[in-house]
Amino acid sequence: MSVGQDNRWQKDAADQNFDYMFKLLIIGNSSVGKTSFLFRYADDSFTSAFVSTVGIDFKVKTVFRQDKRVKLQIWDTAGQERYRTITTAYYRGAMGFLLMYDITNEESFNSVQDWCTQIKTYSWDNAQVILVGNKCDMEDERVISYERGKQLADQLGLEFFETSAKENINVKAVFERLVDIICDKMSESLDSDPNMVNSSKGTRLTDQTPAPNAGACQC
Amino acid sequence: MADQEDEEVFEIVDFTSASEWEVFISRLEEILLSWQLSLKDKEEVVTSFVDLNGDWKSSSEDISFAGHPFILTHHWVEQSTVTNEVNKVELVTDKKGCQVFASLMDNRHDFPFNCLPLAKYYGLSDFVVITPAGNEMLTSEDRINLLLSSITIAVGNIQSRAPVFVQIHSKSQQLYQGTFECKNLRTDFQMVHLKRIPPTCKCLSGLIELFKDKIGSTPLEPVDLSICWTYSLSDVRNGGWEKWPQPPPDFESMGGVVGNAALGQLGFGAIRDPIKEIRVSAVWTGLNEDVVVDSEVYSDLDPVQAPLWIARLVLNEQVPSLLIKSLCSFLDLCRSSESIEQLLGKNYTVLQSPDSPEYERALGALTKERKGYGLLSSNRLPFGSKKAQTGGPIPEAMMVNLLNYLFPDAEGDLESQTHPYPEQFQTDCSASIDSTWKEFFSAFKTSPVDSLVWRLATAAVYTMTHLNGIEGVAHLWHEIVLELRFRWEHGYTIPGLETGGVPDLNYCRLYQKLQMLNCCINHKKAGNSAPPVEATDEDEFYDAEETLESMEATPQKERHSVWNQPQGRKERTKMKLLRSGETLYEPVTQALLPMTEDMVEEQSEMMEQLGDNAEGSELRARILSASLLSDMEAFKAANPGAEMEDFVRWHSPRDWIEEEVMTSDGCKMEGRLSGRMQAPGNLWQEMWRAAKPIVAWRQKRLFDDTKEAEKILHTFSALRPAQIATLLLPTVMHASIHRLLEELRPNIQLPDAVSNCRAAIAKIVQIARHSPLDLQQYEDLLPVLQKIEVRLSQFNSLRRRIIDYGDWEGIDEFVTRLLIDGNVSLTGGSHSPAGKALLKAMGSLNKKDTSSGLPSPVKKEFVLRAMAHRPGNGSTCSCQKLFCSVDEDSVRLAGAWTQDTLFY
Repeated sequence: MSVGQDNRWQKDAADQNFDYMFKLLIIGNSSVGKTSFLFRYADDSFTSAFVSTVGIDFKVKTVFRQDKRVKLQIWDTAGQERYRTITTAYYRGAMGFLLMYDITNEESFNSVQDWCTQIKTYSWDNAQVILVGNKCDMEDERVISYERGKQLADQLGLEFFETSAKENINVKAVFERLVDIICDKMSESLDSDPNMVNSSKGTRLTDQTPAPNAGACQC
Repeated sequence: MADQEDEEVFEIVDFTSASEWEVFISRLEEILLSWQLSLKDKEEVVTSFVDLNGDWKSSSEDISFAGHPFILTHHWVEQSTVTNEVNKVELVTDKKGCQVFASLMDNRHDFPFNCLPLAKYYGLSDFVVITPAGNEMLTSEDRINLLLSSITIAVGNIQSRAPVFVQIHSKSQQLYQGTFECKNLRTDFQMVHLKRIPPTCKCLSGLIELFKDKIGSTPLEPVDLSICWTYSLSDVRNGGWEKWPQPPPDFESMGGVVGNAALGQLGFGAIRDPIKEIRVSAVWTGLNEDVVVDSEVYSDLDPVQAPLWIARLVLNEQVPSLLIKSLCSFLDLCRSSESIEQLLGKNYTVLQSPDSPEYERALGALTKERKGYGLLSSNRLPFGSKKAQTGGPIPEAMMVNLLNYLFPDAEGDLESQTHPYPEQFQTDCSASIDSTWKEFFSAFKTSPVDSLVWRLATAAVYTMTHLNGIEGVAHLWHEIVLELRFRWEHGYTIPGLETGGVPDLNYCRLYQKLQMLNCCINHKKAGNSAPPVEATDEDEFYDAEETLESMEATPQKERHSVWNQPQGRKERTKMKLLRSGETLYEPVTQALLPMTEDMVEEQSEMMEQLGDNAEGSELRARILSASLLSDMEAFKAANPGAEMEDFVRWHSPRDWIEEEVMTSDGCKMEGRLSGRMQAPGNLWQEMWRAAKPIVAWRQKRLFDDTKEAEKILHTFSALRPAQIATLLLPTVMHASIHRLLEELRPNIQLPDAVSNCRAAIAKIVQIARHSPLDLQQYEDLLPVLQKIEVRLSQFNSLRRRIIDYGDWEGIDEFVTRLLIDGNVSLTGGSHSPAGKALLKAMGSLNKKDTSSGLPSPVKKEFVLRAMAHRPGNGSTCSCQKLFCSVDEDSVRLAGAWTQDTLFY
């Protein structure tokens, strides 16, 4: 752990050129494809045999959004029950969640409600959530129709995407959408919670853009 | 060439230069025109009634006369609500279309209470005033006349629709002279202010005489009268109103036995009376000189019978209040720099070290004397023994009270506790608060209402305010840390915390730390007791059905060898081990390390430092795999002979893939590990190979309670009072707004207080999440909280006073309107419910009885109006008005005399 730490520090320090940093979390039952999804997005690679995540891991990707460099720190979590206490501790501070289920697995879909409750309990109340039905390439084994997914998303008040990490369907779109809604929310409630922007690392939005309707939202 | 031309231009002399007063007049005209006051080009729209208590606006320009600077100011009422009723001032029909004359003659303009003096004297809603700039004063008659005649010219030239006044003598005297001209009628505004009151001005009959005398000709109709007599309900000399809004706490007398009620509640209320006085005016309008007699010896006017009463409120400005005062001193505490050792001296702090012999002695003593928990009495011992030498900042009896309040379980069981903690904590708000506030309360990152941290916060505020300030807080915290250490060492749970098992990151860090400490205490207690009762193999023999089945299935049960006895079985599952076919048992596993927010931050920072490459990823997995290894070892211990497949089926069931396989015997379920678990060299396989069968309680501890508890206690004992206060600050703010809401009863409609409360809550919710917290943001909140507190104490004080003299259904509405609008008109005068109460209050004030049962008025105001031909009988009939105000030591007469400038 201590080996090479200094080098990493320097690399990290050099990485500071971004406008905002968003912390995102991917959650959902075990083996719905969270890690594959993240690797597809961050490295554009796919293997069906990632090691089952132990506890929690993360990847970083910087994107451009509305002329801003946004550094995404995406935390990948273990879906197993046993790791709940570890993973939920990371909910606080996350600005966006990808709540993922597997369209070929009924149980993972049935757990969505539970995960939602977890988010409500442990996260900031202004965190944004997108519901993702993964593995949509496996049409033959599909048990959750698009409509069921959409209906549940509407019911929970979430946005909804069906994706495939394997075929690279909608992976980028999901992240872009999540970043957009976080940006929107942020400029909306800038006045009421400047802490949303990681002030210690990123530059505050206040310094960059005028808030369109600051303070209008009571959230 | 060009240069020459320039020089020539400079030598031009302006032989047309005007005199100083001409310059002044043209400048004055210019300004009046720029304010669009000229009536030259347009007809004036006359509004019959303008609310003079409305929204006054003004704009100013500089002007000078012969080197003397003046300020010209235009004052007007923004007419938002124009009431186009029937014009009562039909008298001026011949001069229709002149707002000034209409205003002068409208008796609805009489006695406004919240406007400029000039508006009050004349009932004007639009006028211009010239005031000398700086400290200059206009006193010389010549100068005033010169100025006035200049103004008259300007006003006449541009046909100004607003009269122009000049302020004379000292500014505080509010003396003006003015002029106005419209359609060949000129009005002169004149004013006197006399310290000595001539007898004629004291009563109506004298004033009418004076008025007629001044007009010179006989008015067309009897003189129209408006009268207002004002009484004051403030009189401190009479004592009746000198009630405190809240009895000031008498700290001296309380000594060591302050009632605990004061501990649980933050102080509230104004320290001085926020209400200065209530003024009650009896108003008569539309009288005329023939129907009413008011002379020095006799009066028809009985205020009790007046048709209208107006109640007005005068508030004391800048009243200090208890809550804000204590919050201020608490913020000071947050900024202090002393350490506890500096404050209390080494004698105190040395006892804190567990290695110190004195500490040992103290603990030894307490174990002997302990009854029940008895922690408090024992913990005070170190102080008790040292007190003679150093003297604790908080008296012993008081400290016991404080500690009993914070740790009520030390008093014994629930019945004997003075202040037991609630059975269930409410995160939103308590029953004493209107439920409409609930939604706002869910998001506070502080601590549950009336939890230990909540009580700590209120106790700290109390100590800071009433008990020796910062030394007191240091003393209290020192005692609390001793108490916490005692509880940790002797295995007593800390009370007043939610029993959730793990720290709740939705609350503040101090709360999390205390929860963590409780986790340590509970973990230690559990660890010290015998290993949990296991589900053993033998269980199977008592389980009838199962036994039969299993007996048949495996008649010869495989016995494990001595060195391979199953251990640490928690619960049997429905699964069978793949190889041996034995029941798969869920093992007893180690508790995972509960984490507080700062621990999560620390961990996540550490993980971030490892980078987001594959190498870092693997390192993270290894760091976090400790619990996986522990689970595997426990599993192996509970299920001798188990395979990794068995473990995966229990631990990560989705990685066990079962498929129907067609065999010769028909369909059969066949399972295999998922691709990712089969991948060669993956972490799970590697760890499975490395795992030894070790039962959970023999493994290396994942959660080292001693280490964590000591870490917390050490941090606690090293805190400076400022740091303690800072940790408590969000909760203190939460408790403050909670306290204010308790005062804001649901039936009270105080819009400003309600909206301020909302704003404050939103702000507290927001800033309570910031870490590290920014003191300035908390300081910025104080003015809002103060506004709320002052407003609520005003309400309470006012209501309490009124209710002494009468209680009726609309009392809350009356009090609210009086507070918000500053005045309430009571139609029916003393016969209205509020009027009755006020009458009673005034009656009680009146020690020297007069006929009406009222004290003598503090002010009498009269308005006299008439239409008359001035200056000669052939002149146009024009409006004449006299305003007179008589108070105890002066009289003011303000007249508006109009005369015809054409026919005289």
